[in-house]
Amino acid sequence: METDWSKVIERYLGGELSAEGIEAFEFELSLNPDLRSELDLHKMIRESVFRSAERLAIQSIGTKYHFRLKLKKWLMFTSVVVTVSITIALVGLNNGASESKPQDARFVTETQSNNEPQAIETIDSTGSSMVESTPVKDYTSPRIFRRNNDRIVENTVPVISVPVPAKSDDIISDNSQNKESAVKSPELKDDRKNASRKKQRLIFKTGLQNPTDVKEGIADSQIPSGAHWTLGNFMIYASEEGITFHNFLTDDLIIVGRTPKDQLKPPTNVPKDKEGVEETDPEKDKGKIYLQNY
Amino acid sequence: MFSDNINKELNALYKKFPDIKKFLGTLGCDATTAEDIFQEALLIYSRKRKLDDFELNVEPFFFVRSTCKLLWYNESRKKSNQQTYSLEVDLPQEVEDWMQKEFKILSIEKKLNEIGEQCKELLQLFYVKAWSMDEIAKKIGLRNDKVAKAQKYRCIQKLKDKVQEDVQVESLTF
Repeated sequence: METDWSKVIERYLGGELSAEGIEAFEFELSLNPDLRSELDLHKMIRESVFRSAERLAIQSIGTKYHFRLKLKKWLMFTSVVVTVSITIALVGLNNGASESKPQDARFVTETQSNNEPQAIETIDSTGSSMVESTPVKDYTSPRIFRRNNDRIVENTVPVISVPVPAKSDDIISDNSQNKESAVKSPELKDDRKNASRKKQRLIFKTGLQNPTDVKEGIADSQIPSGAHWTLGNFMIYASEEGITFHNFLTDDLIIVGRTPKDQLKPPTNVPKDKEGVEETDPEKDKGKIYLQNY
Repeated sequence: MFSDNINKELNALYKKFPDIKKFLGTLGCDATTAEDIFQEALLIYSRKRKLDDFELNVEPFFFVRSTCKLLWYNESRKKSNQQTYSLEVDLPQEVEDWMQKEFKILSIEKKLNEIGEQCKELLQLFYVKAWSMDEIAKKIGLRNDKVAKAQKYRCIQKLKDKVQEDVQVESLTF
């Protein structure tokens, strides 16, 4: 009986009863308080179903509100972090810029040492390039050439790091009699253009050619004896005493020379002063670097 | 679910939730309960807005805030052993009646979650979205509209039984 009333009530609330049906049902309602309670319950069921859907919609509004709030907080936090990071970076850059103006040569050497690349692109005497991943610790301390006419004398195979100079005469010239091992200027110029675009330093390996070096497989990266190269205002001269570097650059261009430790060799002849050279003991002097200023 | 206007109003009101939370906090309500009460008040407001005879004499925010206060009053009255706040004035009888009806509907709504997902979906599709029985049958995987209609009556009966169980428990308790 209850189920039947349930169906009638649903049809009544759904507007499915005929006019006569509505009249009969409402007459029954006026007589039957239980039916009135039942009708109220059905109305409340409908209400609760609506309300359930509405509650979901309001919860969805709440979820969106909290998401936007979190997003806002996250954006604020991120902007603060980015601002602080940029400030720290700018302060660091300013400090770095002030440190790059040293008062003496020793200070320059230390600073340059910290800035040395971990992987070194090497441009050999044939103009081809290769990348060395030798760690910095496997090289000697950097030797800085920046004062006019700085000169180093050694017969090892140093790695030379030359800033890409914005000079008009940035060509490599060669007066070597052995043309096969001389630097191919156009190729190196191309490399220098690439390096300039990347704001890099030109780094190449050189050394004095001798039979020992040939055995070690580095002859192709050496200057033949008697040859000299110029790179802008920078000159490398090879002689029987070893390699001589001349730097005629101004103070704002720094050339760094380093030697792989496994290739260190004592010079055969080291200039004592301007007047002459002094014979040295190769075993005793092994690993020493001779720097002479003129 | 809501019209665009009501939806905009509800979104705008939700942005004032921090004020409501602070207000309820002064009455001893914790943050989680405050949000439940606030959502309930928004629900009541949205339903009132749909009524033709509803006249709003105050800003919607103040209506919602007053509703929150009444709801929190009832909540704290139910948890009388943890009561931290009581209204200083007696509620008018009509407000009491209205509140009792609201709680009755809320109680049925909770029972709706106990009759199974299929029943709940069927009733929502029929009453809220006004789908035909044929559409509902296809949606929830019933054979045809007659089976869907029979299922609807079974769901209503199940819900009524749950409500009756609740009434019997209350009559035994009090």
